Amino acid sequence: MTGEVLFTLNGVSKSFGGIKALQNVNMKVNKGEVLSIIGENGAGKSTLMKIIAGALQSDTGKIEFEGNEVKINNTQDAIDIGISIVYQEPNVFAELSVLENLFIGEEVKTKFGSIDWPEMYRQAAEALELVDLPTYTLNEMMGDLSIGNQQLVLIARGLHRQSKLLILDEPTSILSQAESEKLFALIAELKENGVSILYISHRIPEILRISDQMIVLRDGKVTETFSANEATENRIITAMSGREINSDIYRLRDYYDEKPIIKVNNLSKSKMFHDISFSIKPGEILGVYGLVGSGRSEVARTLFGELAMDSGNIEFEGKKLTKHSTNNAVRKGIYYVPEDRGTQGNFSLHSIKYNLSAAFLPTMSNKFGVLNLNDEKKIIQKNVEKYSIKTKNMEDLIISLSGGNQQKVLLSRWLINTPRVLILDEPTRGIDIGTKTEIHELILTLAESGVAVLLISSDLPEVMRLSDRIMTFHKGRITGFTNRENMTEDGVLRKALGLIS
Amino acid sequence: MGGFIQKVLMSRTYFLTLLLVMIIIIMSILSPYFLTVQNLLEITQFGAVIALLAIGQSLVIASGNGGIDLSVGSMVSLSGVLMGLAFNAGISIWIASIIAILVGVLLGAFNGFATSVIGLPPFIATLGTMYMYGSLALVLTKGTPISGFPESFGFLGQGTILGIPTQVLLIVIPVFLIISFIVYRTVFGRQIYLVGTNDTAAKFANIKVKRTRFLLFTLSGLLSGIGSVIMSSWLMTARADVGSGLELQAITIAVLGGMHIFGGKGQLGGVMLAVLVVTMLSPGLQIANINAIWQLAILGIILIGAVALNQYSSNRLSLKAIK
Repeated sequence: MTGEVLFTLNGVSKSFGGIKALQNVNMKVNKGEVLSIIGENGAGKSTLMKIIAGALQSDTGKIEFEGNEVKINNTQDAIDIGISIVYQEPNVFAELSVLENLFIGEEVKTKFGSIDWPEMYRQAAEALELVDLPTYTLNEMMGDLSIGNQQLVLIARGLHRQSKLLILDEPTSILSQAESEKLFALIAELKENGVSILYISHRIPEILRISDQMIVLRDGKVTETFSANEATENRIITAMSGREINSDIYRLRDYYDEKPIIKVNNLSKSKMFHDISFSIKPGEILGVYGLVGSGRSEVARTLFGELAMDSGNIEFEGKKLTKHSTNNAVRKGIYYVPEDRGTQGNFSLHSIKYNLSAAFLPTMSNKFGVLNLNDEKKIIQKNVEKYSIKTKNMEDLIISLSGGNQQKVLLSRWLINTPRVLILDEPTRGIDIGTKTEIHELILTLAESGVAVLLISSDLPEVMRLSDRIMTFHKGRITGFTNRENMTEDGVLRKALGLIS
Repeated sequence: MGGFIQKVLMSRTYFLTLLLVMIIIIMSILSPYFLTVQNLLEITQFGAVIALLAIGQSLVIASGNGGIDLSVGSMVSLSGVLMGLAFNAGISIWIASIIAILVGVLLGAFNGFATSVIGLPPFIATLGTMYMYGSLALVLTKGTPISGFPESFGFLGQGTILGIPTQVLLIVIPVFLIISFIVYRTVFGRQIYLVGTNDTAAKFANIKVKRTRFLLFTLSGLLSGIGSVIMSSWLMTARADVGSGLELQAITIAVLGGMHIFGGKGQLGGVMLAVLVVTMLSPGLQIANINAIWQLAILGIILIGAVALNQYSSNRLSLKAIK
């Protein structure tokens, strides 16, 4: 069964604006094999996968399927050829039944044009059997299923369409350990049946376990291709990061004798996080690593006064913060740069200037709230230069900037006044490598000047590169702290996955 | 030429100025009396109340989240009626005027409370208060107009100073200048546009989103209260139905003036030009002997045209930004 080529990509490139998301990517998938694509966040994995699934079109390059060159102009083309994709966050219609979800948009019709429920039910039962789900599941609401089972339903949908290539996008990131095991068993079974799998993940242990071939992406380029017997964790990590992870940029700071500026005691909020305790000293960078949805952003928003806690307390300079609010946080110098630029950061209809000054308008005005427009202009000009935001005119719309420069605007929004505690939530998500380095340098410089930094990121190499300590989150709880001298990717990852190492 | 047309379409100020000039030219061809300084100045008195309402409406719209105030007409009616009742109860007409304005503030604050604090959708909440305030005005007066205001009170709505209608010179122009100053030169003004563009981002930038919206609904009530005083002085009666239909005119003017219906964008200068366009249009149409029924149709056409234009220019803008 194996050895026969199913699918090849030749010289695929894709740019967004000025950013090269993919450069000259080549890959080959054999029938009945698992090819894993590994890379950090932002390495180009998602873009590549979307091109294969028809959700994006490449700028250049050729795609061959079963020996014939094919054009995949939209998702339907991909489905017709035999390519299915299951995205990281399952796209489901929670209010519809599992049966309806399986056939959405492609209902089986009788010859009179009405929906043929019995036939659909029969086909659906077959499909569910492939993923080992009981038939009675068909009548349940999709939203009532666990995330893992929702994912299985989506895989069943792909299999029912006779897919020859199944793309799984970080499938285990939302699964429990047991659910993951079930998925791996299914993958093995599918291989037996000649289905090829493109497996996207950054979890090295599971990749080593299930893959026949591996390619490593970094900054949109394939840096290394391994077959199962050549690959080792160290080789993959080196290929992913391209350098020793704990390299270069980190600088030791002497903050150890300081008293903590902020101390969090047994903070809880129902359904979000439980019993969170930690402290940060001035000049310290505390990294927070955990999967999306592990409660890390919610803790940050509580520190910023934007979410109310159920129990526990926050001490600032040794005094409990009572009646905490964003206003209170900002007065104390606790600032928060949120994780999603588009929905939580940008004022997209407005200029770079308006975006930069938004949080500190009161400091640019007199006591009656009248703005001093000259002051504003000067402060903004200074910031644009200091943080090298690449723009000719600060009156231009913020959305005319590249993602990296937008992020610099949003970061420097909070650097107009000097922060005491700076909370950065995914500060470099989706931005180019150059700007990323600049932001890393900036974070270190801020810490050197005595700012306490809470750095939240799903980019593990980033957290490891900058943090003095890493606090790991799993399902709303702290699962451990790792000091710089003991940091290993594996160790931190295990804690974040809730596995005690 | 293509460049000029595009510039006119992109710039609301150019577009409205051009429209205004066209209306004046057409009207003066149709009627020799139209284009006299005296007539033009007199026409502005028709626009005084609606100008105040349109300013309030525009800022509510600018603050986003589907912000709209359907109750402005009813607030004018109810404030006016309470003013009349206060006067009938023996209170001086000037004190009664202040009462009317305070009533406007309270009614507006209630709208603000319902939308911004409780979180009801503004369209629904102010539709509800539109009926509530309007009915209350009718109930209180049993539908009978209140009149008998002292002659001196007419000075505000009927008098002129240097040929300019008093309400325009002493109220509309100062109100416009003060609110423009607030909008363009103060922290609060800037925050209106930021909140209107992205309220989540505003929250994360330590801007008080609810308070901002609450204050704008209250301002809309304040301006409606002032409008009711002008209206009563102009008509020398207080009637329960005096404000009906004004809310739709105010929305039309706000949108024609360039306020983005989803919030965050649009300038008060454009809104004032739009007030002039609409005010010139209706007496103009009367002079030209066009049936009153058609006047409403024309207002409808203008409204749809204005929204289409907004869409066009914002599409152009985002294309330009992506470039």
